[in-house]
Amino acid sequence: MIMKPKGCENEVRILEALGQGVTPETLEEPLRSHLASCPYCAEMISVYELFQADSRQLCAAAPLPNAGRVWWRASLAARQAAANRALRPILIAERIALAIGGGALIALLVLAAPWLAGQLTRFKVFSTTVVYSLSLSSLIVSSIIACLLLMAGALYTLWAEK
Amino acid sequence: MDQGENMLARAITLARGGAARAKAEVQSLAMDEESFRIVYERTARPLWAYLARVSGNPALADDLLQECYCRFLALANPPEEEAHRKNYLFRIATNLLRDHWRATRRHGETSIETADVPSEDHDVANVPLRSDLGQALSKLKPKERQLLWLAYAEGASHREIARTSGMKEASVRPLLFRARKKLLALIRGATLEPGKA
Repeated sequence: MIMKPKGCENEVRILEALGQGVTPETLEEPLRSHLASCPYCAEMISVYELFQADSRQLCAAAPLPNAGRVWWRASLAARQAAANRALRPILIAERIALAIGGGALIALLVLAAPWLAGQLTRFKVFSTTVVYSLSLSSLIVSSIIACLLLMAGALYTLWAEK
Repeated sequence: MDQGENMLARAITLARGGAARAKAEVQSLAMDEESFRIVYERTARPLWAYLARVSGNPALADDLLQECYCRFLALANPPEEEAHRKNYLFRIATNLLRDHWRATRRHGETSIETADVPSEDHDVANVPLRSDLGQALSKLKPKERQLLWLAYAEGASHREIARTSGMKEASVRPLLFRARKKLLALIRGATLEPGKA
C-alpha cells in the first residue's frame, strides 16, 4: 500500500516554535539540524516567510475604519436587537390574536352552515344542491382543529423568522 | 400655569427614562468603548488582512470586519484572554466568509473562488492584493486559503485551525500539506511563465 505524502512529522513542532516568535536561525538544535536536511520543512519555512512578509505588507496597508465608528455601529445593532426583543411579545400576541380570530371566523361559518344552506336553497338555482348536515359536537371539534391549525401556522411562522 | 409645569416635568421625566434605557442598551454590549478600542487596535489589522486575502476583496473585508466586531460585542460572555479573543474573532470572520460564499452561490453570482480582483473604484484599491502570493492564493479553494493563512501568516496551531475553521484536527495536516504543494506549484508556474517573471 502506497501512503500519500503528508509532509514531515516535525513540521508541527517547527511551526509552533515559529508561532512563538522563534526564527528559523534560533530554533532548538535538533530541529535546526533537521531543518537543514529535510526538504519538507525547508519548503514550509519558505512558505512561512512568504506569508509573514505578505501579512506584514497587508497589515501596514489595511484601511481600517475608526474604532469609534465600529463601536457606534455595534451599539446601533444592539439597540435594534433590544427594540426587537421588546416588541416580540406584542408580535406574538398579534399573531395569536389573528389565529384565534381566524379560528373563530371558521367556527362561526361552520356553525352557520345549515342556516346558510337553508337560505341558499330558497333560490331555485340551488334547490337541487345536496346539503350535508353536521352534528353540533362534530362542528365544535372541527372548529377547534381549525383553530389549532391556525395557531400552529402562526407559531411555525414565528419559529421560521427566528 | 401649574398644569403646564406638570406637563413639562412629565416630558422631562419621559425623556430621561428614554435616555436611561438607551444607555442601558449600549451598556449591554460586551465591553465599554475604551476597552473595545484597545482590543480593536490589537486585532483589527491581522483580521482585516485575513479577510482581504481569503476573500480577495478589500471592500468585502471592510464590511465583514465591522460585522465581526458587532457580533463580538453582542456576545454575552466574551473571552477574557487575549489569545482566545483573537481566535474567537477569527472564528467569527471564518463563519461570516462562509455565510457570504453561501449567499453568493445561492444568488448565482460569481464564485468567490474566482472573484479575486478588487474593484477599481474602491478607496482601498492600493492595497497590494495583486502580489504573486495573492495571485496564487486566488486560484486556490477558499478552505485552502483559510488554512494556509491561519497556519503561516497567523502561526496558528493545528488545533486552533481546526477550531477556527470547524474541521477535525486530524484533517488539518494533510489538507494543509496539499494546499501548500498546490500554492508552491502555482507560484513556481507563474514565475516560470515567460513575461511574468
